This record gives sequence, C-alpha cells and structure tokens, in this order.
Amino acid sequence: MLPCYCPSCQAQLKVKSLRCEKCETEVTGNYELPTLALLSTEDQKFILDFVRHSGSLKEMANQLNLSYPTVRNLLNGIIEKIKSYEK
Amino acid sequence: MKSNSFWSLLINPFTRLGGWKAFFIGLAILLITTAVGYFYEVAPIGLLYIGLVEDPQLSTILICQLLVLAVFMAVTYIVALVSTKNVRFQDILGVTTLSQSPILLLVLGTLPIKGIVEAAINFMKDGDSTALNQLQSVGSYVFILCVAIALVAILIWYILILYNGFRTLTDLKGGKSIFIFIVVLILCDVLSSYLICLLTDGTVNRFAFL
Repeated sequence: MLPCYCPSCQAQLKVKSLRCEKCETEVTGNYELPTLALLSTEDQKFILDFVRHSGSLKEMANQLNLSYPTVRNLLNGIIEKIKSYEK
Repeated sequence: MKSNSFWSLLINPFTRLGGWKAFFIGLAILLITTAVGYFYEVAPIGLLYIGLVEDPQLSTILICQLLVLAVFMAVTYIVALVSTKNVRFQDILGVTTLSQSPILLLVLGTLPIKGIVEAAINFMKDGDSTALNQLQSVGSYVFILCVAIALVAILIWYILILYNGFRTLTDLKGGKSIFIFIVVLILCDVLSSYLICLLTDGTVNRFAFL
C-alpha cells in the first residue's frame, strides 16, 4: 500500500520523484498525493465497487450482505473523510 | 468467528436487516406480541414499560403497540431528517418496527410474576393482603429475584437494540449519538405513555411491571 503519512511525525507525505522503469528517466518535484490515495485500502475498495455498481447503494448492500442504511452510512463516512482531506 | 457474528447480529441486526424485510419481520413479531398480550392481559404502556390491561379488547392491545411504535418512529424520523438528509422512509419503517421485537420477550417475561403484581395491586387498591401474604416465602422471593434479573437483562438488550437502530438511521456517532438517544428515549416514553392513557380512556393499568 502507498504510504501517505510520515511514520515519524504523522504529517501528510508528498511525492518527490517518479521514475520510468523503461528508460530510467526520473521526474522530481513536490507533488500532492491524490485525495483517493489518502483513503484506507478498504475505503478505496468500497469506492471502486461503488463505481462498478453504477453508484447503486442497493446493489452494494446485496453484494456486501449489509443493509441499505449501513452501506449508506459507510459512504457518508468516506464523504466526510474526503471533505476533511480537501480542507 | 460464526459465534461472534451471531452475537453482533443479536445486538445489532440492522447491519444486515433494513427496509421492507426488517418491517415484515418486525410486523410479524408485533402481531405475535399483540396476541400474547391479549391472551395474558399485558401490554406495553410506554416505550420502556409493560403494564396490566383489565379485560382488554384486541384493539386496545394493538393501539398500545402501534402508539409506542408510531411515537418512536416519528421522533427518529425527525432526528434522521436533520442529521442525515438521505434517509429512506422504508428504512425508518423497517428498523423502528424490528427494534420493538424484544417487547415480546418482555411481555412473556412478565407472565411468571403476573399473579404477584395483581396481588400487590389488590393490596394497594383495597388493602386486601390475603393473596400477598400467601406469596411471602423464601422460595417466592428467590423466584421474584430471578425473574427480575432476567427482565432487567431483556430490558438492557431492548435498549441496546433501540440504540443501534437509532444510530443506524441517524448516522450519529460517539457521545453526541448517546446524548440525543437518551433525550429521544425519555421523550418517546413520556409521549407514548400519555397518548396511550388518552386513547384507551385509562383502561390500561398504570401499575407497571417495568
């Protein structure tokens, strides 16, 4: 999993360099991590499943074997996290 | 793992059940509770109270059940609309109806001590202590204590189910959800007790088991 927070002070990490494995070119800079990458693996999986099901909470509930309001609350939790990252 | 899943489902069935499915299960249990209550002359007389009903009609027991449910449903719906805007009506209907299911166990749990309560009521009304004196033995005290402990355990389970249903519907978390739930619980109890008293013309006995 992509590390997003500093193991020493817990501050949010930034991308310093990206490297091409084919020609070994390295691009360096100070890039922000995308908002989705900041979410936990479970939350990212939830979002991917949500998109795969065309945004249907009802189908998500069936797939996860959870009730509709529980799935809705999970989504609300992710929305809250995204809002806090974007602040 | 399976055992853990069973216990978590027993305390919070709403992670798996919601909407119309929960409503029909809850409705079936509510009708069974009404039938048992009619047969043994016992009914819910508030959100957290079970009481005696003198010579009840089936409609009286059903009114008590439905009033308790309707008040809890209405108050929860209002809180849910304020706290989370995308709540479905069928979820409110299903979760609140299913959350009333432990009342069946509370009604059944009061049956072993019904005679004792009736004797106590007669003593308080007419000063007739004959029946009450007959019950005064060490054995009956132990029996009453055991039934009381069981009833308190069922009551705690009932409140937990109500809380989990409330939390699922309103999406409130932490201390805020506990505080608002306590306010809702007290409000619903007072309101449903008052409405039951009003609509049943006082035929429901105010001497409550719980």
